[in-house]
Amino acid sequence: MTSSRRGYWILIQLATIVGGIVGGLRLFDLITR
Amino acid sequence: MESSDEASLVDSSDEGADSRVSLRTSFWLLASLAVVTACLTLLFMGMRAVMAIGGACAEGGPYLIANPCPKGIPLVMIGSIWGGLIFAGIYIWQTTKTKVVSFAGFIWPALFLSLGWNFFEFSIRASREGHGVAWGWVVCGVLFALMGGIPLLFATRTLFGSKPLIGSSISNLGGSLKLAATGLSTVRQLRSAMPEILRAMSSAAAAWPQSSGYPTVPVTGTEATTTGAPDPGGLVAVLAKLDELHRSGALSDDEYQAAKKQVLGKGQ
Repeated sequence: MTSSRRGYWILIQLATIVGGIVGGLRLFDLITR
Repeated sequence: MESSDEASLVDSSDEGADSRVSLRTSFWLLASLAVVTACLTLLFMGMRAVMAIGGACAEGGPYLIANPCPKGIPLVMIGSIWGGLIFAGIYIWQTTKTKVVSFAGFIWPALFLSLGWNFFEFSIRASREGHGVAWGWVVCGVLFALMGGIPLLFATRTLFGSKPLIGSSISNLGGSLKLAATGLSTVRQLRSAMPEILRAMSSAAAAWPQSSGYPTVPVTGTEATTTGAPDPGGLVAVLAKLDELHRSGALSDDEYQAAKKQVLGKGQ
């Protein structure tokens, strides 16, 4: 895997993690409201 | 052009082959990562909600429940544990299959460090709200910090280092020993710095904001008092619980009246 592809996968996965955290917080609010 | 280190991330059978990842695999890889992260977040938030009512709650069954769970918390806890396990498995499977950079090594540290943080925060909060430092929670916090922190050293190495962990451990024994020694010396430093850490925790407890946003009930529960920010919902719950105990015969008339007066006195 080339370094640019490796960097791309790190970035896209970091963005996914941020999305997962935001989604988790929203879901928690929805379930416990 | 690939360096030899980067090439080592690709299995020998993949060398020269197209290392592109299919759309379907990419979807499963990213979707499972998002679900795992969401589950870790849900577990973190669920734990905070339970710790805010003393650290334990129950729901269902034929027994008289002293500390009912906040709304939706059983679903959050059970769902996030099972969802996290299943989707972590899917994520690890997809990253192993495709040789894509994996964050799998961070799942364990994220779990233990985030839950450990809750133990520390709520032990300080309990102290701030007049229940004294909850030492049981401090011990759990230290244990969780170690359980999450030490594997984190290895996880960062797999992500930012040039070789996968297993390969590097075998081929670079000296480096691994050095890493283990660093971990040990960190633990030793932590142990010697413990009195200062405890002093810092006490001053942090003194400076901690008073309003927690949650109604809090002492761990023993039977005193049935509320503390912290006035919260009408929490007050009603405590009064309902008192009434329940009174009706069940666990509290005599006098005890019930005294407890009710105490609750209403503090709630105003």
